[in-house]
Amino acid sequence: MTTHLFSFSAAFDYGHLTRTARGVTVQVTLAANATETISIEARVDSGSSFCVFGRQWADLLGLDWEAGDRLIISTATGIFAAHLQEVTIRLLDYEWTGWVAFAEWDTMPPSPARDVLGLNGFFDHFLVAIDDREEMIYLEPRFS
Amino acid sequence: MTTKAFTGSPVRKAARPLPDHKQDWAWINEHLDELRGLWVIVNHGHLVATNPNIRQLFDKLSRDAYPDAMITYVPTEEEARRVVL
Repeated sequence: MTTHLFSFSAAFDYGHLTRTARGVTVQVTLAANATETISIEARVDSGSSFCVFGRQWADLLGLDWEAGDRLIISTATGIFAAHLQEVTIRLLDYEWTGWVAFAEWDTMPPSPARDVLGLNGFFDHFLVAIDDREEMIYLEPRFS
Repeated sequence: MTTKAFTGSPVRKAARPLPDHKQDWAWINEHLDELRGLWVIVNHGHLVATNPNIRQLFDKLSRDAYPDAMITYVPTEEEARRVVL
């Protein structure tokens, strides 16, 4: 058997964020145009190709929603339109820029209209391990 | 559009870490029943604003007044019973 060893420089206990629904959730801010949101809850979802956030965040940041490249995102419950915008994401004591898809809907958890950290923009920036029994997420940033 | 691409910049240390919000969550948990069905903004363990509509919530606030605040939605009891996909 081959053993793989990884090390993680950050750990986050997400238990307090999931008292009402099962899920792996972290808090992030989004920034663009010299404006930053307050802390937002975002679900960590490797099943999502993109980071997806509600349109209200794009409007709050002063982004021209329709100016970004348009995507049609397919989910288990249907399809929705989104536009890609480059924003700075802050998580714990890390930040990075990434392309985020801002959906046509406003965030409304616990419906499927919720803010998500997916593959492009999050998982391609961190090595991620989840210990769900202990409600811990471990992160190793890609600094290069 | 590629299906797999490293997009954006590499990760860097933030100039200012995100607050941990433990104090804010403690306040929310103490007031859970009165907050159900509302978006809630909490700052340093104190309520800033609530509204069932997230846009109306921000309409009332000065954007830069609470940089360390957090926002969450507290589901109704019925919503909280749903299993989320």
